[in-house]
Amino acid sequence: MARIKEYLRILTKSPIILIAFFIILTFGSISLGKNAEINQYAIVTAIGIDKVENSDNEVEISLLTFVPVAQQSFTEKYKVIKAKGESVSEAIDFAGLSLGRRVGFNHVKILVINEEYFSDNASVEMDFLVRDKNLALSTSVVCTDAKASEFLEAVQKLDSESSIKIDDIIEFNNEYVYSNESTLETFYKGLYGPSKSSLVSFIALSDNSDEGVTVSANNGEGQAGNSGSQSSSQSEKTIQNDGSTILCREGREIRHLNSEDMKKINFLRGSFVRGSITIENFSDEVFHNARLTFDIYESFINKRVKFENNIPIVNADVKVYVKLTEAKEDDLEIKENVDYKNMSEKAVNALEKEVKSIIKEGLDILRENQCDIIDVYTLLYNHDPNAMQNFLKSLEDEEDYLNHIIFKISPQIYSS
Amino acid sequence: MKDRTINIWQAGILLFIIIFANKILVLPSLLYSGANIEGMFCYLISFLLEIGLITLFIFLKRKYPTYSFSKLVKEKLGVITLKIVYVLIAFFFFCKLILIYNVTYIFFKDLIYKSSGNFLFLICLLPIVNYLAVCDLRSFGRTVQLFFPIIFIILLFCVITSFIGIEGMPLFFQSNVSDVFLTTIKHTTAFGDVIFLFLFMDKIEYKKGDGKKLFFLATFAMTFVCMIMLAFYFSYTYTSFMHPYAIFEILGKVKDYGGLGRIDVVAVILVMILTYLQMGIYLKCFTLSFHVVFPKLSDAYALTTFNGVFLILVFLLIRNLERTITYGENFLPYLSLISFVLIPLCVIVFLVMRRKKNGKD
Repeated sequence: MARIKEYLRILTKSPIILIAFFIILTFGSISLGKNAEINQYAIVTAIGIDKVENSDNEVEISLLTFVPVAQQSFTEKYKVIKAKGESVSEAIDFAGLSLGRRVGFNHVKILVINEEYFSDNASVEMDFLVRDKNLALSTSVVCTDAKASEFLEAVQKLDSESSIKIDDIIEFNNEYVYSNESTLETFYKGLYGPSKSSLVSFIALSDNSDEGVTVSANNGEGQAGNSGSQSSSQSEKTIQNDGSTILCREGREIRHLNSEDMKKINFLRGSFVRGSITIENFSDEVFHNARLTFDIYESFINKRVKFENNIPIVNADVKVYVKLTEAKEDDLEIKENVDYKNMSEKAVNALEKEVKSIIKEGLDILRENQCDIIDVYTLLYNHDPNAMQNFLKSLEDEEDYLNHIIFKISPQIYSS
Repeated sequence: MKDRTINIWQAGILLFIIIFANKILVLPSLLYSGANIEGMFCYLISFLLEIGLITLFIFLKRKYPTYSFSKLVKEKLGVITLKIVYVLIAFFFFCKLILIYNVTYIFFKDLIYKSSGNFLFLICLLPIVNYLAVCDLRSFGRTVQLFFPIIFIILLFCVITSFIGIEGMPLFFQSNVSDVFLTTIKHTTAFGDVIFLFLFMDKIEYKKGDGKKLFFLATFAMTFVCMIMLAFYFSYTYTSFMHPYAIFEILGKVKDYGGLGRIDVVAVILVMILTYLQMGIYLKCFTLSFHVVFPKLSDAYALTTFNGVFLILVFLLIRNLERTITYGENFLPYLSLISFVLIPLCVIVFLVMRRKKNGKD
């Protein structure tokens, strides 16, 4: 009895013990009494949005949903659930009705939008998804030329047939000079930023293509989530991620960029770690009229800005670390250890020229479309707000400021 | 229960904890909406005012080391003024309790306990907060002392990792001075909690040079708050207004880009610990003020009054974040007059009266 009294005395004198006691008691007992979350929520990993044909307001939502199945193998089972509604939120509610669960967006990694639907007004169409607090703004956004539902079905197949996951593919886009990873966050950051421009990844889904990952797909009566249907016939679909990107301004598509265009723009952005540069007809002590390809290991860009006579000047120092990986020339023989071979001054100069030309072409694309993807506006404005405002006022069209900024590009090539 | 004294470190830790109240969740986003990146100046202005309040407290404590604030008001300004001042202080802390409860509840509901109602949250929170309010101040001081290293380590972790998520530069100088000041006034409600020091004035052991310790811990907390706010603004730049829960979002950003897994849970733990302790301090201040207004009534009356009115208001007010923010932006700023005008005015009056008395002597 004395011990119990002593224990109670300690308990009442130490609020910390009481706090711990209360937390364990309340949270513990409540958790024990609750249903498993998996029975309440449908775990959605990808969302697709399509416009319904012959309807102005209706949208079709496709949800790539994880289906818990007791099995001994490692494979996760997914199904594509489709629903239509007057708005995205209504369609999601109907999808929840079909599933018999609430639709949980916490695990969504990609949002697939049909290009036609996207080009109308992407920011308005994605409004619901941005307002939803459970959908992370880091969710990748992808545009596709096919129906988003078909794309998700192909993704489902890809997942079940291989270890390749679509979100891994998209996430890796950031690594390469030819592509770009776009998320809801980057899209809106671009849209609300001074340039109002953003980039959105584009992945094609085609029936016959020489490039990309091929997956089997169902035709005819085969429905999503019903892939085992005997009446369905098998065909092939190719998911083609070639770096294509949609350039948007004010939330609307203004140009479809290919991987070469992206390479040019990414050199200006300096946000990649892999890629290659090729120089043609190169001659020095070792090579004669050779075609040399260099792998890029790292690239940095340092932009310094100033105003001269009310004209903004951007000095861009581009540092590129390269290594010769391929040489094509008639009668070429490797006679010495190429790993120890330093790049000749001529090769460095040729590469610098090539980088300069790539960046110039990238600038031309941005100028032509009045899309300040590299956000020099912020740099200039933060450097000297008054000078920037004066400069903008001096222009006939303030939106066309990129065409009136002088860029001085200084590439520096380093052999790695 | 008669409160025993706390040492200056314990008072400093209480101050450290209260400085985070209402500042690291929704405030950064609201300030960005009002004043863009210049919202950081709103923090600086309000923190300067809080530093001023701490300075006044130290000054008063030096002049009247054994006096309580209520005794000073009673002696210098009379009983009626005492009652008015303490009714206002009690009201101030009561309203702040509702605000912090609402914001935290909506935060947890939005992000974790979607299906859980207000009732569950109240069960988890109210008994402990009530206990913290009635327990001896020294026990409370020791509890916060025990939690301080945990809070400090989590904060340090949040700040360091959040800087990994920083990318890009926001656009500066978009807002003018009036935007900054109007936004500051609109959100002063998140500041001014440091007046709790005046209420515990006679319960804080104070020796020569202890003021530096208070300043050290206060500026330390303010630095942490500013760093969280900066990391948030520089991580999200133009979309800062779209992210309502700053401390959670900055770790979320690192999770996304650093491949570190769900480390945003760390922020949830921090918010949970801080909310318990901050609400405990608020309620302790409320009961203390209640006791001054009604000296013959025990703490039980104070807590019954609080719980009754609190439950009614909480059920009326809690709907969503928008409603809470409307309450915080439109009604509560007037209450900041209590912390930033009324208390300093009282202190200045005491000091002037003391000087006159010394002059006459």
